[in-house]
Amino acid sequence: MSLQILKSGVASIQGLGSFGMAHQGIRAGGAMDMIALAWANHCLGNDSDAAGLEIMGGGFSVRFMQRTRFALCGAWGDFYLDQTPLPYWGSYQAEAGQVLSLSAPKSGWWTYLAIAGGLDARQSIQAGAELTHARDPGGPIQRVPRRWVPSYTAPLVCRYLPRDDQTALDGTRWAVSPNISRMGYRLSGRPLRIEQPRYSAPMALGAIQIPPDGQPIVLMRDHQVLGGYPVIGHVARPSLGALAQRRPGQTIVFQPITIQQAKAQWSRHCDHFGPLA
Amino acid sequence: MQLDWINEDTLQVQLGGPLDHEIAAQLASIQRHLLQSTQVRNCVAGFGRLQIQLTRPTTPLLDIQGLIDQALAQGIDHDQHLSEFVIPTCYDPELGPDLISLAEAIGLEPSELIDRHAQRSYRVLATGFCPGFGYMGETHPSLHVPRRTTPRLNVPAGSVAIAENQTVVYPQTSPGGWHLIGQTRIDLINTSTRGMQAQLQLGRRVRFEPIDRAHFER
Repeated sequence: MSLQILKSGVASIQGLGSFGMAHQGIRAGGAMDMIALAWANHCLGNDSDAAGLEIMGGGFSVRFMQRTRFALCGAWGDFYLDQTPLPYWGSYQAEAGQVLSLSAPKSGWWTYLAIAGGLDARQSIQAGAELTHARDPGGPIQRVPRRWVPSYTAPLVCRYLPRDDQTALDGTRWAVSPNISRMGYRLSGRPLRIEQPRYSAPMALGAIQIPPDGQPIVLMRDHQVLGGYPVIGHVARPSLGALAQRRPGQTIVFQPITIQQAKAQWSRHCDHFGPLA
Repeated sequence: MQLDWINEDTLQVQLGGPLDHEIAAQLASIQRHLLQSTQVRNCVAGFGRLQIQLTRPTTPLLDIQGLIDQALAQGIDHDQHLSEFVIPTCYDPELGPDLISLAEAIGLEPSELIDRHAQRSYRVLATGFCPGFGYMGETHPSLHVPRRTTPRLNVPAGSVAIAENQTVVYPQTSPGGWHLIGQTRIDLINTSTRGMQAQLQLGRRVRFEPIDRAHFER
């Protein structure tokens, strides 16, 4: 079972990320908007750890080589299956030979294309390449309820876990800078001055680093394993995906939450979708 | 030992001082033990700090505390597990372009700088920067210098370097801001049927052994 990449855009295969290799310097990776991928898998009846295609900024098209059930969630634009516009987050049925094309999204960055049964993670994406995937084990065609489809243009209340009773970030406003990538998102605003540590330390996903210039960096899925800047807190997992979908110039405000609140919210997501990362 | 949640699925604890050899060996032993558990997704440790990412955020902190206590109670003689790793190093000014200027800046003969670097038993204090990489310490006090003000764009793979109170080997060509004092051709990564294994494992004892140019070129 395969699909053929026609226009590759900027895309990679992502799932929950890798396990057990961080201490060897191998970054974990994983979907930038984990919840959007989770919805796509959910709409197909896939396991939550099924890998899908993560497409940044659209400009992507594939031809389905056989009848395929697929799902699309995340940043949305003018998406077509042959001539038919695709209007909502959810799963769809493609016939052999049909072409799925994704324009640049109107808001957000990251669109997820999941395939029934999942994609084999170790494949490279380039125009002309054929990606193999599992046989469809059978499952639903369904739509994500509208109330669960977020706006990526609303100012973001970024929930975060302060470290060591730090309150310096609470209620502060920042703009997403142009310096964003799968490694980290830089923010701009009134500089925060924090003492710089002497030694590097292990970094965790969502860490809010404060470099000497006082402009925070939020660590994303391809972040370095060790970091030399001080960490003032960690962005809560659902807010991290929401932040990933923000564009330069958009505003975020940091809101402190407790670890109990963060775990409760993340557990609700994991209960609904299955294990996430 | 205060184990703390830093996000939904990650715990952290500062076990001890960043340069302490005993702590590094303990961290290594804990890390080995934790990575065997299906409850642990990743375990990164270095400079006295331990970070554990869990497979499930619902795993109680006490379960992980229990695994750590088990590892410590086992009181493994870490030196049984990991023999000293010897890095044959050619301290030639052509291979270590900062050797002469650094020695002069510190007020030593190059041969003295080499002695003070090589006549020392180091421990790997932290790993994770990139595959094969380990921060080793502590270097001789007379060799403590800040990083170069201007990093190099291309440090050759195998370069032996010092900065601050540590020493490193660059496993692959990359940008770098440390002072280059020699080169090694030893493999820092062992690829076997069991997969990739770094030689500079956390807590491992390391020594640099001077070799001459002829030996290096062989």
